[in-house]
Amino acid sequence: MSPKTDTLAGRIAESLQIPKDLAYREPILTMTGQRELFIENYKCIRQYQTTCIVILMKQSTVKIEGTHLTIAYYNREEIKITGHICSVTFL
Amino acid sequence: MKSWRYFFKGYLKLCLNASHPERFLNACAHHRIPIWNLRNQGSCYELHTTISGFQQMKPICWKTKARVHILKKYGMPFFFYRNKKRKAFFTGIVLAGALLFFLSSHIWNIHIEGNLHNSTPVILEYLEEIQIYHGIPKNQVDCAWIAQQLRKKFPDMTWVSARISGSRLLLEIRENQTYQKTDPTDSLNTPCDLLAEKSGRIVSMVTRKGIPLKKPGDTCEKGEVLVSGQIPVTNDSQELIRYAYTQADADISIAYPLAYYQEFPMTFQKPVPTGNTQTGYLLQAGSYCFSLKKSPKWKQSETITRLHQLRLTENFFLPFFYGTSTDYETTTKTFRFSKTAARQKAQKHLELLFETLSEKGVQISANHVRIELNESSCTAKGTLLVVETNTAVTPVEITEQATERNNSIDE
Repeated sequence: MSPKTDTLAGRIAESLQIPKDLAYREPILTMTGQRELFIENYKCIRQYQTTCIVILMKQSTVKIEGTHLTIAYYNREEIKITGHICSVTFL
Repeated sequence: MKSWRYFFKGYLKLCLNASHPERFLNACAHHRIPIWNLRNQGSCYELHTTISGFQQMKPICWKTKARVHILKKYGMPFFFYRNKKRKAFFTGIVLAGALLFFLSSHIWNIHIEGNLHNSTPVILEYLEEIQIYHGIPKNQVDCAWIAQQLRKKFPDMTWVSARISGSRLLLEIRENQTYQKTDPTDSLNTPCDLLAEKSGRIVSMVTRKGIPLKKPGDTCEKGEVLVSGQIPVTNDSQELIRYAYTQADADISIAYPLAYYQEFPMTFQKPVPTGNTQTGYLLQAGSYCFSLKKSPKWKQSETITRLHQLRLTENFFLPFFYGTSTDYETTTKTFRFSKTAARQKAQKHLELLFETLSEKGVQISANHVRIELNESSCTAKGTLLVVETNTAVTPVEITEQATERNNSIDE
């Protein structure tokens, strides 16, 4: 059991069977090979270069490193990154 | 889908220069400005956005101290603006649209499937009779009515489904496999006699209804009553009280001689191709024929024409034909049959007659045909004894006397 589920809010969310991304405001990262990365529930773009993209989440920061990184599209809720992705790091 | 929507509304490729581009990008996301294909090109950022998005960017640019330049314009609004002077092009688009609308509102293919007994041309001919033809507007087609009319016209169709799919009228038909057309005399059930259609000797006789007047072995003349439909009804003392009438029914085989004579000359003339040919193309529109071939310069020639009819769809034929016409130069030569060949030819003719007779249900009982040859001709003559089920139906004369007797008994 993770520490979050120990809290009262966590236990209520668990009992109500609310999806975890909504309950704990956690991002969802969907990766297709090394070509695509789809991130939901992000906050903002912190840094954008062809070799490095830093995305600020609600409670953490993700650093994506690679080459020829492109933002295929983005809006307030989701962002899609394409290119050759070498690493995804939670800071 | 989204890309098509952007294309119809128009979109722009922009170049973004800013000291803090991330601030600009986040502000755009906050204001729900659609941005896609964002690339870092070193000195600037390239991105795509809609026309309305570009208009919303102005206060953000001012706030984030960013500069945005339009690199390229895409989509329908810009395309029409660029080509506004090409009136013929736009007229063509409008005409193409109108033509498409016209063509899609008519039936251009009538597809019939499932018909075995009733051929497709027969059904198409009937459809034309009831004003259902290729090119009819869709709104004039009532599928239920067509199905009803087809079932009425062709009683052996047990099930008909008509539906429109695009510009096709699909007719699915199920036919009764065991359906037989009823004889009108059967349905009327009028009393009748069976007459001999040929003079000869009765070989076999199976009577189902009526009184047989002849028996196997008897001879009969053409038009003679073989089975009577008038049945005498007698009382206990064997006195005739009245006549009952029925439709006489029997299988009667009559054997009769059939004279055969065939003669053909021993010499014959036949055109022989010399090997010289001349081919040309042929076009035909309705009854007008246009040939691209020169007329043959030879004295004697034969022409073989191969024509193909143009058709738009499966059953929609246009009155236009195309094909080739080939002339073959020929010379007439005289040949003479050998004795064997002449006999074979005469025998072949005779066998052909046998086949034709057997197709009609006629049996050959005896063959007395002899083939004779002389210098000038070959003759096959003699008689064939054939057995045929050959009877005709004629209504019975209802006698007044029998009716009176009948009435008197009833009284």
